Amino acid sequence: MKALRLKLFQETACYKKPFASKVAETYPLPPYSTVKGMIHALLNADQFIPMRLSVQGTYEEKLLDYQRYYFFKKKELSSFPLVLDGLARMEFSYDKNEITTMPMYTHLLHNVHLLIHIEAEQHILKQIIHAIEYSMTHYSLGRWEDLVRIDEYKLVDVQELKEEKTLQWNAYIPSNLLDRETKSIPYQLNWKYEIVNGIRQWEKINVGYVQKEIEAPEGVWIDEDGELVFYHL
Amino acid sequence: MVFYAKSEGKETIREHTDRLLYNLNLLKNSYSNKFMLMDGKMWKLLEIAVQYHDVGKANTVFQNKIRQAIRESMLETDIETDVPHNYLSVGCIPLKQLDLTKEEERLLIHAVGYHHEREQLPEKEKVRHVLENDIKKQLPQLSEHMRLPMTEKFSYRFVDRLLKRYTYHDGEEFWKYVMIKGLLHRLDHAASAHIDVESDVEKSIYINVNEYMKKQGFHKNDLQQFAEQHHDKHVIAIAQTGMGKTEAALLWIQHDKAFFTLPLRVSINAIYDRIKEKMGYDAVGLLHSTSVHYLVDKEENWEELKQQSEHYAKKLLLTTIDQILKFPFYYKGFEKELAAMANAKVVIDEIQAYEPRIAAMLIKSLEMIHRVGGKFMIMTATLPTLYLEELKQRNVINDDQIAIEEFIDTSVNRHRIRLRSEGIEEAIGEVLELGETSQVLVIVNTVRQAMSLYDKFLDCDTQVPIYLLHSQFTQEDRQLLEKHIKQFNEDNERGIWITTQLVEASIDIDFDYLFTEMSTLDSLFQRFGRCYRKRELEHDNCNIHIFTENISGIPRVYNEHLVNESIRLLEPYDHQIVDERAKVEMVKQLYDRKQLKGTSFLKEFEDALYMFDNLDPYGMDKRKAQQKLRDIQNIQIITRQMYDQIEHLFERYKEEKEWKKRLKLRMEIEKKTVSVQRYIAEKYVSERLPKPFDHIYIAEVEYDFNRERLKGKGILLDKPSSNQH
Repeated sequence: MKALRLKLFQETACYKKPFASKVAETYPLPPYSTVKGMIHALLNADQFIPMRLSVQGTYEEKLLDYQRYYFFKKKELSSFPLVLDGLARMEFSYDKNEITTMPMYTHLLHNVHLLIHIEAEQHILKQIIHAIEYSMTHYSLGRWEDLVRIDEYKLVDVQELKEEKTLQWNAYIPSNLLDRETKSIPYQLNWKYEIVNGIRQWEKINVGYVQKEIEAPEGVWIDEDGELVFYHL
Repeated sequence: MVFYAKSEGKETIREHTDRLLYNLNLLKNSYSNKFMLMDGKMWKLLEIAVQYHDVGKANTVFQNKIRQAIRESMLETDIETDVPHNYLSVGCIPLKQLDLTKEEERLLIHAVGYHHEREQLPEKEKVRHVLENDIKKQLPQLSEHMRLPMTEKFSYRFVDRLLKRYTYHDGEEFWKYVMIKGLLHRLDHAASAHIDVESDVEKSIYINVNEYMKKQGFHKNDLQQFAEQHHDKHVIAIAQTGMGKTEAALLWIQHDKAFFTLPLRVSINAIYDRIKEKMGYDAVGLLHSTSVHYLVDKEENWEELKQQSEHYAKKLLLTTIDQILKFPFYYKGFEKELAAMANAKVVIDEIQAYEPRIAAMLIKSLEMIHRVGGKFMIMTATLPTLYLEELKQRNVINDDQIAIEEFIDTSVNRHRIRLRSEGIEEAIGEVLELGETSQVLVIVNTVRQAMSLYDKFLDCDTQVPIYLLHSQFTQEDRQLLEKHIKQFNEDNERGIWITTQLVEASIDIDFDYLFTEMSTLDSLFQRFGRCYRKRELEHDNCNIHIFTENISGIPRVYNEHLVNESIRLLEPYDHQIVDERAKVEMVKQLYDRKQLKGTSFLKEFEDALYMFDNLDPYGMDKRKAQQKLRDIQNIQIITRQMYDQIEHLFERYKEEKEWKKRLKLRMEIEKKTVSVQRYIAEKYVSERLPKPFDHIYIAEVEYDFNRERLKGKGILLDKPSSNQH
């Protein structure tokens, strides 16, 4: 099977955990929904495109950023501040009944390298390549301000792994592939949602975050250049 | 091709492995029905672990180390990476051919991979390097040498699997792991020491104790019959001193392997003599921190005995708890001790003597022993209710597996007490007067108090002999004094002994009067036991005087709340007989959980249990666990003067090559040291001796003792040595 392999770089990134409300904690790698979101954005998609993903990567360090956060108290606001970036001197007043602020820590990953495999129908992969080559805006992954540099995009052959092989990257591996005794951090990652009664209902994927240098479990895949692939579905 | 396992005797890997297999069969044939967790499959796994545990030693770096030691030509190699052989061994196991389940594979990998516990964890790249570039070439010869199939293709998944260690969260698998790994340790250590993993299997203490009792004309009392009847259960027996508890325990042990624990080394030595000499049972071993000293003096084959004891090979082992029951700390290698309990019975004598933190460890140990299939017996004069409840809560005690009983003899009244709300020094005149006609024992709570009282007695103009005994004499002087107090008692001499709680449990004496500072009830009742030990009180005077004011040692030695509560409980008995029933009831009340609420005693006990229940396994090594255990840290000191006198011994030690002689010298030196609590000693210590005596410190203080007249105060921490100015 063919897959599109992306090698990405981000100087900073925060893949925020959904329920981390006091400190913006980040996942160690972008969850599937985030990667899926980036691809859908590239394609200007207005509906879900079926695909399988494999997410691996490394980062150099974790940093803390201290930021002012704005919280909206109401659904409907009389004045909605659209952009304030870079306007330190600008007098900005807001209704304290509608908006409140709080300083908060944000966890940031520094110097992130990502290796992402996307499996989808052939024409979709072609469209993604086209979008990469002709995009009019910058790319970002996670937060809008966390730019992405695309170091490589390549169509690769993916086969089932026969030999024993050592992980070269940290990776999300679906839990059903992992031994009980493989050291891993369990996560439930968002994948895609349906809207039920106006609320997003997420489909969750159980994965283990494993660190490189362990042996790959049986039943995973490998691409033509020897990179391991762990599809989430 | 020769593959060496050890330089000593040029032993090959195969030879060493065969020794383990021999021991494995010995263990299996002797006790296989006693191992609850070891079924056919488990024995098979253990055998595989034995077969492969040392094959990693075939690596050239290791072989060259040995070759250098035994002066053989070195093997050519360009490999320099030194990977611990235990990790390499795992890599050689032909897992694919063995047809094991995933769980069984994990048991095997962990048992072999950690049959030596190291600081250094396996590093995959290094392991890969050595396996691929070195071991691979040796595999055919190694396979031939070991007469075993080796893996055809290396897999490195085992390194990942090793990195996730077993913990109690693994449930049943954890206990299986403890057995396989613990037994492998035992077999390996016994094989390395060239001894049998179990000795004297057929010798049963039961026969000897029965004969002994018959010869002495003893009939089995209720306690002893009870213990004997319930030999297949856990037993908790609450019985006063002098009821023949030791015999009861031996009758309970029956034909099984057993560990007999006591809090004090002296009492262990005493029981050793009794079992060995009086009962004529020679399958008994002795294990505590100074047991070697004791054995060297007594036994011709002490070396063998020492090794058999250290490796738990003896049928009956007398020991302190810190030697065998500290596995709740999950230190590296704890599996060996715990697995040794699985085919054995464990006797805990005098559980009331342990402070709450240690009691918590004991409770946790018992829970773990229960899990691996061992049996325990708790014997005690008084069992704090709290401990019993805790055992129940942990499901260690369920009704058909345990027998609990109280044995109280109220037929003989031995003690009439007088509570005196004054300090003990108020009674000096009275004590002197009694000392002219009887044997008077004075017990205070601290060494300092004992010394000061001794001074005050000496200031009086009197002919009555007065002696002092506490822990801060040199080891040899203390031994002398302990011997003498027994002699004094036996010979019915008249006089006064001033002591600390040192005599509470360890020394078998029976005085006419006891003058004591108040302490907690359990300790106090132990003191009672040194006065009218077995005889009936034949007069109407009070033979026990308890002083409740200006008590020393609070709160350092005794918990203030417990002491006050003890006084309250004792008050109704002023000028009355206190019989055994009353004692048991009072202690029960004192250690009732409700009564203890908010006390530091309960807090310490619960905190310690919480710690053991939530401890991070493999966090410490065995030494550290032992230290933690003795965390009433005593250090050994030697006075400057004494050091100057025996300096030549240190010189001789340095030059002596023969280890037996070195040991003798070492004991010579240790005899001159005093064991003092760290916080007390620190102020007076000037320097630490060089290795291997770096546990001994020089103290710039005076020492006062006359060995002929048995007079003197011991180490004088308040008096700086005179040559120091």
